[in-house]
Amino acid sequence: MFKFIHTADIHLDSPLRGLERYEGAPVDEVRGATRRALENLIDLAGEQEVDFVVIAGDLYDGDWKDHNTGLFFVSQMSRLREAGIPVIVISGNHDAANKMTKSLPLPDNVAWLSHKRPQTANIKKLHELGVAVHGRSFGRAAEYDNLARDYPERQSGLFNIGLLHTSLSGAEGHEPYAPCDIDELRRKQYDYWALGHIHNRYVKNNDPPIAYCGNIQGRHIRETDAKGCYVVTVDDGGDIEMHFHALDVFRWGVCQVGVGGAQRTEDVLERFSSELSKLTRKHADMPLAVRVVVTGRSRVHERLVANPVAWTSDIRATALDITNGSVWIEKVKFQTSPTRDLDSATWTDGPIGELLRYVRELRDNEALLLEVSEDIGDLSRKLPVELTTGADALVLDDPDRLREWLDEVQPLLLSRLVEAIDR
Amino acid sequence: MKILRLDLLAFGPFAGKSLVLERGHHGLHVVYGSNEAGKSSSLRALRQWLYGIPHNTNDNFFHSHQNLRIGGALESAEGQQLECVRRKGRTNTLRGPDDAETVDPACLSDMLGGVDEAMFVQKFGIDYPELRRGGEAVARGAGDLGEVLFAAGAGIADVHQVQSQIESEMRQLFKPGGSKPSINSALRKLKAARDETRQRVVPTSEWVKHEKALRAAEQRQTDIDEQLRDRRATKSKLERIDKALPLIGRRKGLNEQFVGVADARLLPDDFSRNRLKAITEIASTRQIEVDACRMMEKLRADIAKTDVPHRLLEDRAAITRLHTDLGSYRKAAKDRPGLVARLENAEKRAREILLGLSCGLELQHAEKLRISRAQRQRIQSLAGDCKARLDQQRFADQAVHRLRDDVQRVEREKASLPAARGSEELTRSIRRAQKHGDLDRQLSQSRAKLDELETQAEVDLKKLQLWCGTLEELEQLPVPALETIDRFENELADAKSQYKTIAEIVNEMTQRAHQLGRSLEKLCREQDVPTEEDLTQARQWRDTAWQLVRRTWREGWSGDDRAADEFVGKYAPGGDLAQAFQASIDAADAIADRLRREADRVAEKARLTIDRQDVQCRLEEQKQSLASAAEALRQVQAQWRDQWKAVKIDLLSPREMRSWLTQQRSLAHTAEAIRKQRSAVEEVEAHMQSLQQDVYDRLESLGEPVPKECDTLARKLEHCENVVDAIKSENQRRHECETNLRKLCDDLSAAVRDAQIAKSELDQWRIDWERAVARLGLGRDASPNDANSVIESVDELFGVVKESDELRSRIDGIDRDADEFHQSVRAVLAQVAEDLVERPVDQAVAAVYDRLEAGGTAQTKLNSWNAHLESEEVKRNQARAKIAQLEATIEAMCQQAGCTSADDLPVAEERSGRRRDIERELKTVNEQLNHLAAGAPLDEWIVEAQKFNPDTLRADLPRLEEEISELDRRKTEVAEAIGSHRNEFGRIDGSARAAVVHEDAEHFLAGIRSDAEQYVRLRLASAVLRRSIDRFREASQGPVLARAAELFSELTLGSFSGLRAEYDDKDSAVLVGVRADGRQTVGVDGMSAGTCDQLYLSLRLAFLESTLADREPLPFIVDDILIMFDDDRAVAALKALSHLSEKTQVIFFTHHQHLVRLARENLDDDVLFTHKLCGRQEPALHAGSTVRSM
Repeated sequence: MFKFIHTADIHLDSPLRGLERYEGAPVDEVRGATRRALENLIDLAGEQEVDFVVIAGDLYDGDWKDHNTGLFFVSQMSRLREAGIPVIVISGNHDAANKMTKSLPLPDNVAWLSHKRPQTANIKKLHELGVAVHGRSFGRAAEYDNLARDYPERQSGLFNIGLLHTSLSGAEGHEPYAPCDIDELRRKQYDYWALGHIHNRYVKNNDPPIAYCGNIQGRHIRETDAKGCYVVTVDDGGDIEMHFHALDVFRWGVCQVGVGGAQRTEDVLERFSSELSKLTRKHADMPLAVRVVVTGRSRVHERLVANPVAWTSDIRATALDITNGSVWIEKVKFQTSPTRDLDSATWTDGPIGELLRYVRELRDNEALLLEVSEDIGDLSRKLPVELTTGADALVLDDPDRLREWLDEVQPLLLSRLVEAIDR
Repeated sequence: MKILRLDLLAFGPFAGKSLVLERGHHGLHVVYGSNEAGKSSSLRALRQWLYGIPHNTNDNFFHSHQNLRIGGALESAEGQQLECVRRKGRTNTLRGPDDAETVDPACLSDMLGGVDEAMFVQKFGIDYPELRRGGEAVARGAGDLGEVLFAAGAGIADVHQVQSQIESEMRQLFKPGGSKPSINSALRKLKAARDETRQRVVPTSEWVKHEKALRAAEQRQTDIDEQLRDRRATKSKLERIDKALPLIGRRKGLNEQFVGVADARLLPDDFSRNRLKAITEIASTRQIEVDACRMMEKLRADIAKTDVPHRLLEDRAAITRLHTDLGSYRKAAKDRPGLVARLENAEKRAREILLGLSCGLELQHAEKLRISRAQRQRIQSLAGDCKARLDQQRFADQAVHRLRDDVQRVEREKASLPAARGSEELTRSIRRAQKHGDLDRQLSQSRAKLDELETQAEVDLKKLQLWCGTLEELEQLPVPALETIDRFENELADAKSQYKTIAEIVNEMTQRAHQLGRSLEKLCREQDVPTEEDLTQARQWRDTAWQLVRRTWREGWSGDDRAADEFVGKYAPGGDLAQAFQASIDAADAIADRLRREADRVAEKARLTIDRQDVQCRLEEQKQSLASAAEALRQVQAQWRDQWKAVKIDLLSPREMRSWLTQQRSLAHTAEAIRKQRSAVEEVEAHMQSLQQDVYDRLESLGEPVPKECDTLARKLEHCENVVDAIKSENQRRHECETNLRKLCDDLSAAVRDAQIAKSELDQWRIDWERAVARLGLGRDASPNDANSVIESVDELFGVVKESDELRSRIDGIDRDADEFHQSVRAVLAQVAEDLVERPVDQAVAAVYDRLEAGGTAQTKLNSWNAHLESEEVKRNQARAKIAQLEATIEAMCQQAGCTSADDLPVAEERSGRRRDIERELKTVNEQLNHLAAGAPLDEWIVEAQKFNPDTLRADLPRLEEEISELDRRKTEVAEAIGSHRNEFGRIDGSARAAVVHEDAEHFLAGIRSDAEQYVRLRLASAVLRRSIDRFREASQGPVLARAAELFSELTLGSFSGLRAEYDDKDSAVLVGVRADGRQTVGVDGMSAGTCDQLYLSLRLAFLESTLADREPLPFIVDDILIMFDDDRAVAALKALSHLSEKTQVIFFTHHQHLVRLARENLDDDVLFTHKLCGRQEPALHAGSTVRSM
């Protein structure tokens, strides 16, 4: 019987994104989260007395150049060395792009598999256990070749593990690196495929297990819930048991707050408190970054959309009160709708009708929309490049985006104007 | 849609009341209610009937939530009717008229034309706050046409504020050149974080560089270490050889010396010392032997001379005991006479005591007097109790007497207290009075305020010019409204200005006419100026002449042609026709020539002439205008005077009258305040009087006198409180007396009981005492002291008897011991010294003891000498044996050294010593050489060492030294370099410093993102609102503005003739009022607040009218908007509303009776319907008719 840890996508020193600071936010809990998660991994290896660890790529972020990050990784590998635990690593797309990978003085318990050809780790302890770990590192960041195809034949009489950084036949939001399909992997007749690259934990195939273990620490709102690694136990009969162990120190979650039918604005905060308490209980009171999504048809809709900034502050203050500052409200999205239909025939005449017509016109007339939003260019030119590029780029003159904002502007204006009436 | 009836079934202060609004086509329904009559409640009820009762309503103070009901009936434009009742709740809140069956809300919604609550309130309702906000917003927005129209159109009142708020929020987020707004500030922080990250990040290349440098330095260090090792080895070897060379020479010399002593026997190191020791010991032992023999002879002689008394010594124990007992014997003999004397004295004392006791007993029978311990204790205990018993009885008697006195005293005190009285009623009255607070202060404050107001009014009245009547008359003066004064000020100013302007024009024109006349005159005076008429005339003459000439030529000269004559007479008097014709041609040509030549002057004259005619004409017109302006001014002045006719004061200008009116109004207010204050004072006084009477009644019922000297209520109350305190104190005292008396009586009976007990205990003691002292021979009257004295004497007697018994026994003992001692002495002496038997005992014992001492001394000496003799004998024998042993040793040494005699031994010892020295030195040299050879075989090494020349060797060593120190220096340098590289290397320690700052930057980015999104939202919102306002203005300003202009003119009583859009400096459309003359315009900044309100109302009504044209009309609900309008403008507004009521129902709620009056006086009966709301203070009296139509 032996035991090993399957981990990947450590992305050491990668910052947690999208967390806007505010008074009372748990800044200290976020600090160095990826490092602490890695420390948890090493602790787990010791506690579980595993025989070896496999890392399926992406130790670092590709564009992060601080050599200290690599040294920290080395220091953690040294801890495994002291415990007599070998580590088998392959580079992922991020590592291949990072210079650090080549220059690091790795301790002798770490076997970093070649990028030139598939390789089987040559480690005495693995021989003793009867285990063969096959793998191949990425040689370049954008590796579009099928790497799995050339992996060695199964070594009979041994437990064969395939270590691969891949998006298989493609995954949403991920580059199609090292493409291959499940059947191809199955044909290799390995006993376990330890995959990396996709940050969500997912067992693609049960026999043999072909699994993504996900990353060890969520870094933004798209990486929610517990993150960690698999501890895989193989008994003498070759039966495999996989147990997930959370390693993250700070977790991401979405708090859906339904305010349907709420009569008073106080109801919103009450319902939020209740939902947030459920969420924190679910995650055993560990520090959380929470996106709050407020939905439902309610009389309070106008109050919410009239001043989303103030409401966001109120929600943050409430979270601070009930969680004693262990929750960071990442963002509050108001997706509520009014109980009265401001677009209805009631408002077709008069100024409000004119305003609604104008908004409709803007939505349909891109040239007019761009003309109206011309002044936004002042801000657009000043925005840092990190915000204006990438997956969730903030392009202020993108007509689609402008139309989205326009959808928010209409209730904002109407509620402020109607609030003036309701006074 | 029209509201036929509003049923206030159970809502707010109402129960089962109805407001019937069905009369008229639509009708202007004025609903009047004084304050507290429920006007606001009914307004709310109307709205909540149509749109539901809110969850957290406050209108449940009479009726519980579940009982709240509002109902009524509606009629649509098509004549369809709906009757329904609204209840409070979440679902099915709308029911039929029976309040049972539910009604589909859609039916009501259809009746309302789909208008929701917000829109109903906004468009079909107006109240005073909205009017005021609208007016203020118009003024604040400086009449921005778009904003004004947008606001009035939507009923929002303050769209400008919404716009400013959005812009302000935008500026707080971002400004293109700013630094404080949150985005600008976050961008700055982000840049700083980025810079810091760059500084903190350690690139791999740097780490590699340091690593390489470190490895190189470590390699250099290894090389240097190797060279150093080599140099140091060479140096060490040369140094060893240098040290070895002298030793090698020495080794050779020693080997040569060794040959001479090689055959010598090696003797032990201590051989010589042992030999000398043995010889010395033989000599000294021989001396000991001689001394021992001599001592033995002397001791034997002494022993022979000594004699010992053995018999005496055998009885040593008996003699020694006698000698010891002799001391006791002598002391007893000495003590005996003293003891005998003491015995006699004791017996004498005992007899004296017996005598004292006078019991007649002899000494030997004294034992009869002995008392037992129990008897003694009994007597002493009873004696001790004696005082206690007596005291107990005395104290008990005293207590009884004292308590009897106390009882009498308290009874007397109780009898002296007055009868019991109750003070509760008085206390309650005082509390009732006190509950109203400090009424004295209230009264004095109210009075002071009244005085102050009256004084102020008096002063103000004196200051008020033009008036010499009373304040009351002044207050009731029918003065015109301030707005009227404003109007007349404007109108008078306008009329005066108009008159002045026209008069100036007339004056100017007159002057102009004169000026033109003068110019024309001057022109003609200078030279006659031909005119076109002159030329025409000359030409006519010429043509006439030509006709004459032609006729003459054709028909012949007739000679009597009058015309020809006249012509000739004119041009050539005395000449003929030809000459005259020639002259006329010349004349005409001359005029034509002059006209051509003097064209300027001709034209000038023509212009002047025309101008003068024109000016004359216009002057006439202006004079007529002047006359009508003067008439208009007179009319306005007359109207102005008419306004004040009733006041009968000397009228001043409107401006002055406005000031006067302000003062008058202030005085009127003061008068009202005085009235209120006076009634307040009276109210307080009456209140105080009633409270005081109440208190006094209570006092009298208690029989207390009413205080005369107290001036304030507080003092009176204080007096009453004192009375209450006094009554309470009496009652308290009485209560205390009764309590005391009860207690004292209880105590007295207890004390009497105690006294009886004490007496019986004393009697018992007396019986016991008599019985106890009888044993002592005393009677019952004997005191405890008597008893004690007898007991003490008996005790003393038995003490003396006991002492004399002891003395007697000691004397007998002494006598017995002396006899025994005498017999022992005689027995011993008979054994050992018969010669002493006859001597007195004590002397004999001393003598025999002396003899025993002497015999003991002799025995001791003899024993000592015998022991010494034995030891001397042993000493001699030992000396002899040792000598023999030493001599054998010397013999053995000789054999060891190979000598025949002991005398040869020193030579052998000397040779052995020399051999040993050489060997030792050789060994040392060899050891040193071996050490220097460092493990190499010695002989080989010596051979190798001898190959080196010592002089060359000495020269090589310093050179090596230098090389080594140079290498050391380089080694230090390299070590330092390594240290420095390791330091650099150590700084790259895997820390998260860079990552932490990188994280901070992410936080800033996130903040910028959310702020930027909000900024874009606000920016879009601002642009959308601004452009919507512009578009709405463009769409609606035509017809709506025209209607609003008419309404504005009506509402301002013609002070303005209308409204117009104009463009300001920034080319923005602004709204201006047009003055009555149609020319002068006034911006909103020049309008009074009231006029701004009227402007807003005009626009609001105009929009409403325009809306009503297109849709199902809904009732227009007006909540007391006219409270700040003067009567004339209020009438104008009411007329405008009645006009509106032709298109839709108008329901006008008001608190102001005068508005009802004005409406009645000025509006037609078929349009106006008034309703009165009665106050809820009288619901019981007016049940069913609280709301009634009038």
